[in-house]
Amino acid sequence: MHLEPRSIVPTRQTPCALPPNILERIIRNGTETQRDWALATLSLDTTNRMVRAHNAQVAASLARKRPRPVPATTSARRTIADARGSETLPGTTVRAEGQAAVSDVAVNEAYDGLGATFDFYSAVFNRNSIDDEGLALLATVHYGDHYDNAFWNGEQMVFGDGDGELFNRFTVSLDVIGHELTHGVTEDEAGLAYLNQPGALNESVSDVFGSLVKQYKLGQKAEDADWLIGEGLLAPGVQGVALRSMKAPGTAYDDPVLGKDDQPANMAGYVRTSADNGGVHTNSGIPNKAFYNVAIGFGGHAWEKAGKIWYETLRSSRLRTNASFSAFATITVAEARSLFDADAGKIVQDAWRAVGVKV
Amino acid sequence: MSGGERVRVVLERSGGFAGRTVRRGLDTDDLPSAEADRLRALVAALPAAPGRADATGPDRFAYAVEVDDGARRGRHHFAEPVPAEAKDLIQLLSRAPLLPARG
Repeated sequence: MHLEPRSIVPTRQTPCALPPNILERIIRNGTETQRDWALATLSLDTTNRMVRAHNAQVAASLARKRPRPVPATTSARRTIADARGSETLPGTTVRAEGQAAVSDVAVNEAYDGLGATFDFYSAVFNRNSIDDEGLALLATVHYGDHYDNAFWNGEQMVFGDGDGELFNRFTVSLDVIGHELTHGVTEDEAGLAYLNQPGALNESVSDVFGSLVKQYKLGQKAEDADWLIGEGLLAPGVQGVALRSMKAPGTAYDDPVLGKDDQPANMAGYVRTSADNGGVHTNSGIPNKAFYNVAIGFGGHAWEKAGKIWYETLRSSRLRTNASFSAFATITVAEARSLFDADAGKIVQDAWRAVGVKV
Repeated sequence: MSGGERVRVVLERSGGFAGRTVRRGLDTDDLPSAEADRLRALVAALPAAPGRADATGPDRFAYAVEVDDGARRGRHHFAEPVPAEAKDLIQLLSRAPLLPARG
């Protein structure tokens, strides 16, 4: 028996025949009908940065100032649910915001990790949760049977328990939690396509802010941080320190069963493959190393300058959903100059050139 | 479905937070006849044409199922959540012996 091929799910980013700058000109100068049409077309890209750009255009076209909205109070609203080994989401609520710790360590790690990530974005970037609109944070633990993964499904966090032989529970590393929630931020701000170079940038951005969440929590300077992703995740006996190293991509593990960390640290080692959406978890080593270079170039707390530059790049309306490493790098240099100065731009430019990315 | 013919199936799982690619495989020649029949039935239930690899959600697993039944070879791509017609086959293959990574 042959079943019908499954239908193709429409992608989030609908390509538009007209570039945004032309649409924006129509919004500014066109008739009311033309403006409505252009706004409707532009709103197909619903990422936050585009909405911000459009709102600014509309506000300018109205040529009158409105009072700024009062910022919402920023405190985390967390819910942790338990799937109890099933793959049904979200599962049973086991701990809500403000409730005391429970006996299940995975529940408490998820609760604390969500809180640390929320606090990081709030304190460092004045960002109110994943969507900057105070989104309530939901995480499900004990998902699936020996499930070797953690992910953000577009609405919530999901953590597996790991198989116990190669991987421990996925709540164990704070940077893993920061990594997953940052996928939500990236989806909201930049909508980087999860394929090839924009996909590797999407992954790298999650590693960058995942690591910064941990560094911020520990009060570490760039020089003192371990720059590891997934420390504690490898089960006892596995030969390795973590899943990835931003400081030295390709050196995190080398194990007879797990295999060897195959991340490149330079464009010369860029891996072309059809697996893993074009090697998004492999080639992310290149922009990861570039960020590390920037952080060390500035010195001190990495979130203050390097992190700020990356965050504003993610929010830039110049960042396309299909950005190449080089396009992303160019925006980081421009943001470094505009946020800081020409010397900062030079540090960022040198950091990308050191990993073989043209900028 | 013509029972009895040899079918070899390889599951390649890639992606996930770790980004590891793991290959596992089953061969009806190595299975007791009841299990071999089940494998043939699950393979026959796959969509007719090999699917195209769509991008998955962040950190989700991507699955490629390679079928070789002598007469035809096909590669079917699935992203999580796996569609119903492939779920049992992927579950079965997820417990199959490991194969060396593709060179």
